[in-house]
Amino acid sequence: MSKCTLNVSDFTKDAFNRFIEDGDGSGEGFRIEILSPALKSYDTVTVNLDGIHDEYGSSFLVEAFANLIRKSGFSYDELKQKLELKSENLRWSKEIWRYIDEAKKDSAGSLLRR
Amino acid sequence: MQEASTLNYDIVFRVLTFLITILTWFVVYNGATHLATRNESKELLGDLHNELKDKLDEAVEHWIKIIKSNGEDKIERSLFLQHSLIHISHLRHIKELFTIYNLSPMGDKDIDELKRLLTESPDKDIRADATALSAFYNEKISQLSRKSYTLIKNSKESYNLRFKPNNISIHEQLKLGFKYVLMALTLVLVLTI
Repeated sequence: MSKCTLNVSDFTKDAFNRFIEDGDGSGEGFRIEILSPALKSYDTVTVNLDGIHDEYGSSFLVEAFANLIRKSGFSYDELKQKLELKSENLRWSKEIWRYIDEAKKDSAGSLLRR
Repeated sequence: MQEASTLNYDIVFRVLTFLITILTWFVVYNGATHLATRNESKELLGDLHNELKDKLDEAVEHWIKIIKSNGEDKIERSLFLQHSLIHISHLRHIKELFTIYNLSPMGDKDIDELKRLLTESPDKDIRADATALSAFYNEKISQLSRKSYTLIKNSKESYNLRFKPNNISIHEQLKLGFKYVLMALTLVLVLTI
């Protein structure tokens, strides 16, 4: 079983931009360049959320994690199985899973609409 | 016999004096602590209100500018996001400070909601459509205003519950004080007899 650990702080210390065009260290950049390839290559990916300045911007988290379902084609079950979030601040991982849950509901809605 | 009785009175008098001194010290100490806690938490409450109002004003000004510039001005947007996250960290700190005074004017959920309102950027589809972008920020302005003023109202209520406002007039307070003094004197008399 292959494992890998990613540190968000290696990618950016200011985690608030949403799209690549918004500036450095965006959620979209993290998803496309780092997280999505890691999830495709490894069985378990641990994301260490600590080490950034202040807090995570909501849009960064939505774009980096929840949009793995909406835009990168991962399923909710796949993320539950493969993605591990590590932080001294439990609030952050809770917030991320809340956004992922919302994305799951959205994708279920879009399937129903088809 | 008379000497023994005088000695008894003397002991009762000393014990009573000691008890009254302790009681007075207790009342004064508690009153002073209560007043100090009340003033310190009121000051903290004022800080919280200013913080919320200032951020609301700043956010409204910033979002109106974004609507007018049709989503341009990337640098200002980044600065606003960064500043908002510092503001959120500060609010979490203020929230922790309130627990010292047994006050909980806002919960983690409230701060999370504020954070989402302040740091949620529109999707690409919305950015491409001027009307949708304007609607997005208008909605944010009304939601943030509502949330900020609800938090201010709730925090005032929480403060008033913890430190009940003193509505008793000085005349009533004197009457109440006189009643207690009378009761204490009666007790002393009963004990001495």
